[in-house]
Order: sequence, then structure tokens, then C-alpha cells
Amino acid sequence: MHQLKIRNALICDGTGAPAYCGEVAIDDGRITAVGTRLDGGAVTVIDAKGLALAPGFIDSHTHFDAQITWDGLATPSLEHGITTVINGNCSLTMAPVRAEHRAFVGAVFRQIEEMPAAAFDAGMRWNWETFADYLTAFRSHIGINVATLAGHSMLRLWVMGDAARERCASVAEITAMQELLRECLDAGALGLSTSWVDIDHEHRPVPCRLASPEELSALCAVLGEYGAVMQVVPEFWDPDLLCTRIDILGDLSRRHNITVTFSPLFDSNATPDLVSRALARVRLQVANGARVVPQMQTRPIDVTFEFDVPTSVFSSRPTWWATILKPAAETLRDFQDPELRRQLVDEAYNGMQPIAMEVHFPDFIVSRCHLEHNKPLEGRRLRDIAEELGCDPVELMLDLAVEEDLLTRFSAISVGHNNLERIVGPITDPLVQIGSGDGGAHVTRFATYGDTGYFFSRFVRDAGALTLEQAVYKLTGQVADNWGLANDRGRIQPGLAADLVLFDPNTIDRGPEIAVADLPGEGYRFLRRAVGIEQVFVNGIATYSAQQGYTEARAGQLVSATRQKAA
Amino acid sequence: MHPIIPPVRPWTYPNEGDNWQSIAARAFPERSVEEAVADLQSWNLYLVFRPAPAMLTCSDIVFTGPPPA
Repeated sequence: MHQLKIRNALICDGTGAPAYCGEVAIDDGRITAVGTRLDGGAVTVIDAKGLALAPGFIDSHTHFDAQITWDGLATPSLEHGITTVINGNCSLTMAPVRAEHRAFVGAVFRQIEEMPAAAFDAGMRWNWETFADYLTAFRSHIGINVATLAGHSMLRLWVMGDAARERCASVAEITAMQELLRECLDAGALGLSTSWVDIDHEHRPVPCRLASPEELSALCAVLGEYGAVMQVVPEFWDPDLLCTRIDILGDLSRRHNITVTFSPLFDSNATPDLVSRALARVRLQVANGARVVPQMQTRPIDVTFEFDVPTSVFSSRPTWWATILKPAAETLRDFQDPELRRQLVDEAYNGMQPIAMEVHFPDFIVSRCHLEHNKPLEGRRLRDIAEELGCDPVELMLDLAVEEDLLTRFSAISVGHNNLERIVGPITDPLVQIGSGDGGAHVTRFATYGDTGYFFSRFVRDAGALTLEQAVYKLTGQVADNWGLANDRGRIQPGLAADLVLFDPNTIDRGPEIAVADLPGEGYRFLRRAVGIEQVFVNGIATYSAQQGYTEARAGQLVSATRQKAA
Repeated sequence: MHPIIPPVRPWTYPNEGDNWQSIAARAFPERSVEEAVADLQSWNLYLVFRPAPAMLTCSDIVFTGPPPA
């Protein structure tokens, strides 16, 4: 007699093999039997009614490091079928962090991940310093499986103090960082994350960017001892820089026998050959024995903004950037200054595009108005409204912002990674892993959720670029293989953890982007609800269903890499 | 670097404390520093235009040759 049996399911087992109608038995959080028809009954039997049953999706690029301490479900990832999140990407983690560095780390995290300060401060209890104590702080109340990378910038800060922001490390400091990384890995870190591009809240390189090549190699040597993975953010917008970084990663992979993964592999109209060149370089490195894994996100970039908070959409236009960096009252005054307005309008049409994005001001959508009489404008393009009114679209945007005290919300839709024709090949390439979703980050700018549903709706159903089984593999088995998790998760197979998602392959999708005020303290974030996800099981326990929402179950586990520590 | 994979472009890492002059002197010892700096900067606009207070770091890539034609 099994504890739970799911019958009449279209089983996509996470290997890419053809789906079949069958049954899965679950006992004590593990899959105990899989087949077309299983003997024996079960205490609980669920009739899947022909829906697809897949391993829980694994999201390899998230930033729930802070949120997971107050929201053990990492909402809304779980309702999109994600049963394991990998936190700590891009060199940023909440541990190990000494008490004296909390303010700095918090400021950097909020800057890079666009987390509102009020939410961060209200939610973070921050009563730990070491990596082990950080994991202890949330392990008892998680409903989703959580893996965490050790952030290179944090290792430097711990060992070098403020000098981590200023200089290379000494030999003794590198040795100390190696010891600290071993401590993190022993405590349960999945690997190491680093960055070659990120800047802090004072526009200086994050500490890991001050590392010498010797320091990075020394840390990779430790990863080699553990069979652990390194994640890195390269200069993803420049083909020559990216290809050179891929060579560096290939070298580190071969030298230390590690898997290295970079994110994002990002398509842009500014450099239309970038992805194909980068993939060719990855192929070359892989053919020569390296394990280099590019991560590509499924969704295009949408950015939503109000003028009271600076947003990267304007960062390449100096007059706009200087104006919106000012206090709100000064920005309001500048928006009404005739000479400055002339400059702003000119720069809107003729200014440089931001990195890897293509922004056309007249195509901005008025997504929310503050004043009642402006509400009819919501959901409409500036270009269309301006044409009706006989005015310039950029002038219209400025007028609206001024009239509403900068509270009008605008959206720049599909401004990067939006060329389906170019993306469909790479995203289905066996070398490319789905990732880079950034769940938990940029919460006030765009919804980083629903990439799984979008993958099925856009690339499986609409484009027909992958089969259902191939898409499931790319969200489960392939990720587990790349990250050393395959001995425990990522497939529907007896003995593995019963992380499962039941969904309708004909309707699975992401819902519309909505603003929800569910952060600690004041403020809102953007998210998307799931469509077509029927039920999600984490370690055999029903944790979400379309009918009942989230349950009280907290069966999530800490996930660490398969240990292959050298004898 | 892998012996049989030629780089997409020749490049080097900066040493700690390097500036354009010292990189130029090391990468092009046979050339005048002034000319070599001009070439280096033209091949590395992403570093030249990096806004202050960001600085040249030891993990940066400095191309020591032009982009492929």
C-alpha cells in the first residue's frame, strides 16, 4: 500500500523520452514506482485525468536570498511548477557576511536586484553571519527546495574587509578565501558565483571584480575538490568580450574539472550575431573537453517604470539619467523647464540605446494612471494617444508625468531578447540550458516569473520548436545534470525525490503582469500568476493546487551538490 | 589558454596598479607609448568610457589587437 499514487497521467519523465500514460507511486517523499499500471493501492489516489506529470522544474538563476528568509515558498515561483530554486547568483549572497558589512551588502543587493529598501529592511532579520547559520535561519520553514551558491564578493569581504573593494588579494588572503569556500560547501553551498560586470550602489565594481585571475583559479580549484559548479555573469552584450570570457571559462573548466555556467546568453538587435558566435565558441570549448553551459531566458525583456525611481531604460541618455537621478521635486521642475524638455525630447529620439536593449519612447505603454480622468489612457501606446491629440509622444509622456506628480507608470514592452526567429534555434540547442530568469530580483521593474509557462506556450505550442518532452527535459533533467543534482532530482524515477508538477500542456502559460503589494513593509512588486498548472508536489507533499492555492506544507529541503570530494 | 584554440582577439589582463601607459609599455615594448595607448584605447572603448568611479580591474579584458575585419 503506497502513501500516494497519481494515476492516469501523461508522464514526461524528464529524460526527453516519449511521454506515456501511466502511474507514479510516492512514499516518504520519494518516488517508489513508475509504470503504465502499478500493483497495489494507495492511501491517497489522484486521478490526473490525462494531464502531463513532469518532474518539478528547477530554476537555476534566482535571487530569493533575502525573500526566502521571510517567504519560504519563494512566491510565486512554486505555482509556476518550480520546485527547486538556485539562489546566490552573480556573486551576491546573504552569507557569509559579517555584521559590519550588512549595510553594504544590503545596499549592493538592493541596487543590483532592484529590491525596495523598505521591503528588504522590514523583511530581513539578519541574525546570522556564517553560511551555515544563514541556511539554518530558513531551512525549517521552506516549502520549496533551495540551493544556494556562495558569492565570491562575500568571500572577499569576509576575508579582506573593505579592502575587498580596492585591491587584489594577497596569497594569504586567497588561501583564506579557499578555506572559507570549503566551509560554505561543507555547510551545503551548491557552488560559487562571481561576476565580471556588476557594479555596486556607488557605481564601483562589486568586490569579486577586483579578483586576480589567480584568485579565481584558486577558488575554482576548491570547486574541483567538491565537484561543484561556478556561475558567472560575463559581458553578455559584446561578442568579442563574451567569446573571450567563454575561452577563460573553458580553461578554468578543464584545469579544475568543473562545470561553469554563464548567464545570460542574451539576444539583442544591437548585436544580432552575438548568440550564434557565442554558441560556436561554447561548442569549440566543449569539443575540447570543457564543460561550459550558457543559460538563456525564455521571455523577452519588459521594463515598467515611474519617474520617481531611476530605471536602466534611461541610463544611456545622459540628460534623462541626470534628471531622473535627482530628488523627485527637482525632476518635476526639470520636466517643466522648456530648454531641458527640448533636450530630453531630442535625446529620446536620437540618444544612444541602453546596453542590449532597443528602446523607442513612442512605443511606451501607459500602464497605470494616478488621476481618475487619465484612466482611459491605461493600456494604450504613447504614439497612438499622441496621434489622436496631435502632439509629440515624448512631450505627452512628460506632461502626464508632471500632471500626476511622477506617479504615472509606463511600460517598455519587449525591448530586448525579443527576436523569436533568432532565439528559437539557440534556445532549443542541446548545449543551452534554460535559466537567467532572475526570480526574486528586479521586483519593482518587471515580473521575473512565469518563464516556464511562457516556454511551453511560446516555444512548444506556438513555434513548435520543441516537443513537450524536450521542453520538460530542458527545465528538469538537463538542469539537474548540469548542476550535479541528478542523483536526487530532475527525473521521474524510483528513488528520486517526489518533486512533481501536474499541468495541462494545452493551456500552460504565464498570466499577465500585475502589481501586488505583498512585500514586507510598504511597496509593491510585479509578478505573474500561473496558467494551466494543476498541482505541485514538493518532496511528495502537495504544496500548491490551482483550486486551493498554497497549502500549509513546508516540505522543502536544502539542496547541495553531489559531493565528489577528492579522497 | 587552450593550446589549439586561438583567441578571438589578442588580449591581456591588467596588473594591479596598471594604467593605459603601463599596459601599452608591456604589450608593445617596441612602440612609442603614446601611439600604443591610442591604439589600446580605440580597441577597448568599453573601458575608456566606463564611468567613474569604476576603474580598471585585474579581472578586465584588455584587447591588444583590433576587432576582426
